Amino acid sequence: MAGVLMEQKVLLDAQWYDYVPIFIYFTFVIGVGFVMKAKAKSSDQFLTGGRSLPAWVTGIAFVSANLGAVEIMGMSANGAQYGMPTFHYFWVGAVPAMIFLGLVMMPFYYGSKVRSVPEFMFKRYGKIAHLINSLSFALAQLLIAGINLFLLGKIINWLLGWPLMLALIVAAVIVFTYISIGGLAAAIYNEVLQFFVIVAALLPLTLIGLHRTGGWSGLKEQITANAVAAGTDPALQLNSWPGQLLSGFSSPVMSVVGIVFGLGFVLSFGYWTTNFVEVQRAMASDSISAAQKTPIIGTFVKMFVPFLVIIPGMIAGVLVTEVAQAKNAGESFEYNNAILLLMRDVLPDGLLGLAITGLLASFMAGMAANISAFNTVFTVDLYERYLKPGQSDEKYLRVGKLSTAAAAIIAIFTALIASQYDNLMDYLQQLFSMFNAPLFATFIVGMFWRKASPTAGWLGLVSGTLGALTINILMWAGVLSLPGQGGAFLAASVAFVTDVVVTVIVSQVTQPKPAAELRGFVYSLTPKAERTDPHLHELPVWRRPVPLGIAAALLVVTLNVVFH
Amino acid sequence: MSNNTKTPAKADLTDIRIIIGLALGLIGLFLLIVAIFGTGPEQLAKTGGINGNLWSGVGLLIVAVVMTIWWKINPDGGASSPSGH
Repeated sequence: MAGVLMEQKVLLDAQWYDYVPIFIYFTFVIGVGFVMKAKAKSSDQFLTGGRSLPAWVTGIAFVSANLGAVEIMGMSANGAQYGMPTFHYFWVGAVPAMIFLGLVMMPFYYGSKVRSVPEFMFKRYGKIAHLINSLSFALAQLLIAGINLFLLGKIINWLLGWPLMLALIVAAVIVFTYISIGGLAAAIYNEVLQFFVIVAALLPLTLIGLHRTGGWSGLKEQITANAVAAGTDPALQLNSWPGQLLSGFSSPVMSVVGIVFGLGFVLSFGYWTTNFVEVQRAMASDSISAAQKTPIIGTFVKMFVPFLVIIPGMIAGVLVTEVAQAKNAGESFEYNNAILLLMRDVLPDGLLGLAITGLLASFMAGMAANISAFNTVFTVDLYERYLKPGQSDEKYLRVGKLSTAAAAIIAIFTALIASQYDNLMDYLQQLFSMFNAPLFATFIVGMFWRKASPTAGWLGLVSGTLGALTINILMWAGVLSLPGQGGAFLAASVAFVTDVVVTVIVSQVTQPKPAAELRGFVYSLTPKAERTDPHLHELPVWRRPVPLGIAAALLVVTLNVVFH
Repeated sequence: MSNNTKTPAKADLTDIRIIIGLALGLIGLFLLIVAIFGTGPEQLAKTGGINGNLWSGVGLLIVAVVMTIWWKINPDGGASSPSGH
């Protein structure tokens, strides 16, 4: 799978000075760890960043933590292969869920002062649901950290010619160094720095690429010409709606329904609203309103990421000889390399070095986000909760650092597992559909329905996950056949519905938690003062969560209209 | 909301804005140097005639300067309670 690039030594023709920005960036990355050392003295500061960061910082980190290898390589690959329907992963597939997270769910997460999403699960539903949540989350983080690390290792391998194993170890050591010294705050700071470096790397790539194709209209003409020559419908690539190439449904109506409910509701709400990697960034902010604004400010960033990722993919589809040939002939091709090949073809030395820096930054920060979420869940939800409760803070701080080391080492091994799958996107979506859609169902029922009982909580989770697993097994066995993302949508929908139905039924016959214990965790039992920011009225209107959320919603609708 | 006493409003080097400003500024300078000494016909052919290093370098320096100025004139930038407490 990596053969194509290795034989041609694509990125090895970089000049010596292309390494300068890489050196500058990593000096700062390590430096941030040391700068933040003073802010990571207790286990709480280490794991929550001391709840002291402004909303724009956590908002950028919220997006950046998700802007790893899969987003950049995988989404540009989708852009090269399918074109504009890929926008939905960023718009329908993220923005509504992020606004919902900020306005509806964040007041509970932040206001209840839990340190992790699984901890919220513990307080709301008790032990069994908590164990399922924390164990599955911890496992998923190790897997995804491995995927990010593997892609990082592959890039270093191509660029510097280092053996993969050495690249994996060096990358893991760097991440371990700054997280173990500076904690979550260092991870968040580096995510913000990473974001700026990625934009600095991808914006010139996009603009120069568009210049080479004769602008946006030139790009569309060339895609049309190639598609017609290959006997396919260019409209499928040049319109984001109805997006049959993405949903896999041939009927336009079914495709729209599939994207809005499958991607826009069950998949994305499951992913964005309960994924602790994301929510953790908001929990590090300095007030309830800042926590609410974190994902909402994030949407403004998120909406424009596809222009820097998908459009270069589309450009590669016409400008890069290898990609264009494979696409026109319908041959199988490692589309994940599309953006690298475009960098080789259009970036001069200097910018090429910056582009490589951006990729390394992205893959490393993705992995770091997984590891910083893992160490919190391990320390707070597994070690402190079950293994050794009631220890000194120093002890937990040490466990936080040790679990960071353990995660970095395990990620090296999971990197080798990740190398076995060639379509990372499909693989991840299947994973998320099994864990996330039921989690969202359980959380949202639990936040708004006081009678949802502890037993119902874990039974709902288990049956929802089994529902998704059943669909996936039927698909793997070939009993069910849905092309594209149709299977992932179906699995997530089945998981969501099963979870809600089971939770409601079981709650009828089991005992709910006493009302006193649910204060802060259920809407009707939480006084308004505990879920709103007392200083909210001091902020100007445009810095309040609700107006910002409305602006984000209007903007994403506008983008969908313009790029329909 | 939070009871943490925040650091007093004074521009310090642990602020993300000065870190971004320094890092992007250095990378921007690097691109400008490459643009001055390393722009040949081969490089210009790749970009279709644009001096990519020059423009990107200028862009990065502008962002770096904006971040540094923001850090200097408004040390508490973006925090929830403007007073810092």
